[in-house]
Amino acid sequence: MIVYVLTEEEKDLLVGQFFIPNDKFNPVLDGDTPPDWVISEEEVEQNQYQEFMWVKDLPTKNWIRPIQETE
Amino acid sequence: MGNNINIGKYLGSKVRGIEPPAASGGGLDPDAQAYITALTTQGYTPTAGEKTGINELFLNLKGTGPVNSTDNMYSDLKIVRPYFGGLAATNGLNAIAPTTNTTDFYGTFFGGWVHTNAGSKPNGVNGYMSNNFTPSINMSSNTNGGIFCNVIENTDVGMDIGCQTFTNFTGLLIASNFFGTRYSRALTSNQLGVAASPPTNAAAFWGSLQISGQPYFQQNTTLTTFAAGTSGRPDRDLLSGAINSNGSPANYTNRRRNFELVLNNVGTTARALLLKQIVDAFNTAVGR
Repeated sequence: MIVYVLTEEEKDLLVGQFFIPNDKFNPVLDGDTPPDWVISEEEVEQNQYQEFMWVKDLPTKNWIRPIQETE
Repeated sequence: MGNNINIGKYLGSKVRGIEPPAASGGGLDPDAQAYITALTTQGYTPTAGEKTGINELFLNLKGTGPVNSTDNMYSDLKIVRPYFGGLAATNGLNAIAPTTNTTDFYGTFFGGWVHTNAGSKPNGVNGYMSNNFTPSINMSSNTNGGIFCNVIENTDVGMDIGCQTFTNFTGLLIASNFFGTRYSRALTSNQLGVAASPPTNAAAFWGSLQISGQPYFQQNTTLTTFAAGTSGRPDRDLLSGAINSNGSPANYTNRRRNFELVLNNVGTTARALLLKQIVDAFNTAVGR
């Protein structure tokens, strides 16, 4: 699965912002070492808002699932 | 015979476009109509057949429908989320309070989802939905609370629905065996999540349905049993597509879901089973 890599600054620009009505960007840290902030293909492909079209130009990488403490 | 008017010919153009009644015996249930109107406002206009299915859903929840003609559970319901309409804006609607206000438990999606008329599928990476619902605040009782989640796909990643319990709650929100539940997990000491096995359903209950020794199942095979827990209500927002782990989403799933219910007074096994029948009837009626 491909994800899109964000800088810390880019992550801050997306948090709390809608990419379609009633769905917000949700940057998460992946399981890489060190971890990267990433968003998903769905967020990039579905984004309707011109102000966030720059996400389509983000670098990509394969998704590395983080180890989840609760599982 | 000068008054022999061809009524059909005269009215033909007038009645075209008027849909037949969606429910037998008259108009729509007013709450069903409110949900249909909200779906339309948010971008999806149900077909006549879908309106019939929606109407029967409300009738069944009120104990006057073809599947349920006796148990009026409507006042106990807090969230009825059919994930219907194919858009994030429609699939987040709470059908019994169909506004976009979070105080009406309008679901807010985060991250990657695919929304269709068959439900909403999170991506297992960062997709979850806030129900804007905290049981300790939004439920009226420490006992008999219920959460019901209908998922479709048989994958083994993540948790379908869940939230953290309050500090002193030592019991578990357990996954019931009523619906062939795949598993529930007592995560850390005060967390709960539920995952389900298709084509069946997951359910979590707290309070009096926490029966000592109740088994839980993985695809109809008993794995173990839980001890009875104390009663209480979780004090974190209920998340769908993940669990709420100490205020943050965790254990993301990629299983599509097409119905969730949250209610007070699950009360009896009979009512719990009825929920499944009502959900199944709706899904069949709308072609799922």
